[in-house]
Amino acid sequence: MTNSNKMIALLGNPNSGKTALFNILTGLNQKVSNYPGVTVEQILGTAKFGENSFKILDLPGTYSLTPESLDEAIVSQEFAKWAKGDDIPNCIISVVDSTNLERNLYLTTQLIDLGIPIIIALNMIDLSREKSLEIDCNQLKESLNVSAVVPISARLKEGIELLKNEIINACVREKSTSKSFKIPDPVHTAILPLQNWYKDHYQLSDLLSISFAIRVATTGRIEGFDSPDESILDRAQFDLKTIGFPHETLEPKLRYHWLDQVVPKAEIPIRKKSKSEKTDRILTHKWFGPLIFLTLLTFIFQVIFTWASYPMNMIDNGMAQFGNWVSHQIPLGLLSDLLVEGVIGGAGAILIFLPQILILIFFLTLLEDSGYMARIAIMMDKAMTKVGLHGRSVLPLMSGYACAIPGIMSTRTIDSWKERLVTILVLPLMSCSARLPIYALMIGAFIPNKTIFGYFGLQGLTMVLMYFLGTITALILSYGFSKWIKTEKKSSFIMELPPYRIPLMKSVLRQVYTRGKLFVTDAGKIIMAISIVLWFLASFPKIDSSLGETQSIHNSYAAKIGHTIEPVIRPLGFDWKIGLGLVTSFAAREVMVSTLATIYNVENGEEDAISLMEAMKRDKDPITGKSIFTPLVALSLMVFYVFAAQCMATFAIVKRETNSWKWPVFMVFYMTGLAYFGSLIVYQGGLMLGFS
Amino acid sequence: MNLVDLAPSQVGIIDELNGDSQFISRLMEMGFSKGRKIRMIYKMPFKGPITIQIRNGMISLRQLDASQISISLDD
Repeated sequence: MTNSNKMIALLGNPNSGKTALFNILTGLNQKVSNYPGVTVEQILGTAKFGENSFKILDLPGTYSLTPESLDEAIVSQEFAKWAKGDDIPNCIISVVDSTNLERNLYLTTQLIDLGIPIIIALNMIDLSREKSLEIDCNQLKESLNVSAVVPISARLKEGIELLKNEIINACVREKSTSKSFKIPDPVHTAILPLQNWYKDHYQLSDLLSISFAIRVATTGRIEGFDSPDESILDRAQFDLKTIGFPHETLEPKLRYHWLDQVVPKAEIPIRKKSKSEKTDRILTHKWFGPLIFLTLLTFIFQVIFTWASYPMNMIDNGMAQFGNWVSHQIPLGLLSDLLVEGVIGGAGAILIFLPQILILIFFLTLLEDSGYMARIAIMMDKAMTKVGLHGRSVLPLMSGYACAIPGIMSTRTIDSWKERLVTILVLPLMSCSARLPIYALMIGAFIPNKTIFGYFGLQGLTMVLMYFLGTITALILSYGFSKWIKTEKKSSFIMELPPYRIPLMKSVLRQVYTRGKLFVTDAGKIIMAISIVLWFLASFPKIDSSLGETQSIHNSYAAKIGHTIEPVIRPLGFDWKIGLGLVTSFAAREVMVSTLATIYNVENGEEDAISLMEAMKRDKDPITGKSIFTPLVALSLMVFYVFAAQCMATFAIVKRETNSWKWPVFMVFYMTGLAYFGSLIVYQGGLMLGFS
Repeated sequence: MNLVDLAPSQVGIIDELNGDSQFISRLMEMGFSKGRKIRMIYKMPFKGPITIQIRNGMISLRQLDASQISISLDD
């Protein structure tokens, strides 16, 4: 038989290696419909084992079905759907970290109550062997009454075939109806009215209704379900207390008690120091820790600038040559103009920055996969609390260096609303990769390529300075915002530190590929469309040819828009071309570069396409004869970009994440204000100090 | 004494989890429970988070949260 529409759900604790397994099972058949971190709720992939094809659902990592953060709430919502009988998967793979079995099996015991075939994937079995932890899979399978227990190593791709076979087996099996765990009789009596309530109202199985009765007694509510009348609930909670089971801890107490009895003991002596612990003696050391972190950060940004320059030059030259080639292939005219100046020019201006973006994503993924990112969170928590943030704000803020959107999405792991909101509000101040093109263009063209202090390149340092400016401002503002936003809920910080692992290049590169591809396709589409519109605005209306092309762009629609806003931005040192760029880049920052590219290509008209940097350096004010772009203008423009609110997608996400227009609108206002005054201070201050 | 009082590499046994019910259930889900052994690994400077060993795993928590966990020394 074929299992064409069988669905498998992957669930597990954070750090259990769930996503690595998902990648292995789906191979390259993964539907990349998700922007990493954006549709974290549901990553759907397809897989083919032999003749059977499966849909595989990857859900965020969670410790239990009682959600603390938004991230975990997604899992409980999905679970609620299944409990009601909608979209029930044919089988669940519960991915557990075999080195920390009991803790990981807690979620598994909650899943078992659904009555769906469950396969336990005992992941990281290689690490367990290393620590000489013996796990009796048969005993585990018997006592938990699951379909199968398969030891695997997602890293080493061990046990995957066996797992695939078990998946095929489990998917044709009937629903299991056996009871999952023993609860003391007095407890059962106390919660019986609750159990009956769920049975009557939702027609749940015995297993599930007991499970729900325990959970509702513990937490007072169940995601996606109504709660029994308060009188029934109060009565049950009172009864529980009298028999010595305070309701607040009922569920974990019962489940752990049961797990402690049935799970084969696989515990490391408490005094035994793990390798990660020894590594932490250096990496989270009082002095070395922060020092290593800062060094690493500086190194990454230096590398982004130096490594990327080779592929960037290649792309730059390549696109210019390609433009020339195309312009010689097709007869001169509107079409050739559009292709060379609009399309190829616009595409080139974006592709050129891909190397830097990929390198940044590469390093961020490396930090995350190695387990170091969690250490950054604990090292920074105290400092973060001081400015009103949370240790968990560090990762979103650092992701913000790549792109604010996945950064904002990943704030879902911060369990306090206020700290989450403040993180979101300041996150777009972290210089994202879309600013890199502007920084790189300005620095490459106008900051001298000198070495100072013997080692540091001036260009690289300027880049670091821009990132620093954004980051510092973000921290200062978060302090202000957290004083201003009031809340009652207390925040807490409990975080698992995953063991250090050497990241697998393959999975790191896959991340880089996925995100890079999304940058090119998603952002590329907007940029391409805007490039073409711009080319049109810059090329029309055509006036009589005797005046020549240079004249014509000065009369174009584009010039009109630019000139209209010029008076406002003149004090910042910007001319109408930059003004037009500011307007177009509200859609997305990187559009600035393609805007300039399009305008300059158009302006150069008949000449062979030249690189944008050259064109900008040569650009002179037609009246005064002075250069339009000076190092000071470049600096002012960069500062503007550090602060400005110029990404529609970001604000759309903020609207979604905060569920109101209030916050995105607020962000647009405060960021625009910062940008204008920041730039004003830089330019006017620079002029006063005698720079030009 | 509470968890914060443990010196690095000292081992304690959990006596009681205090705080609001949500906090306690989170602790229990992460593997904290009465009678469990717990070892202090390190403390971040300036009263930053502490890192402990429990049930084969390393967990970090703020001192404010950790002070809610009463323990007694294990010898």
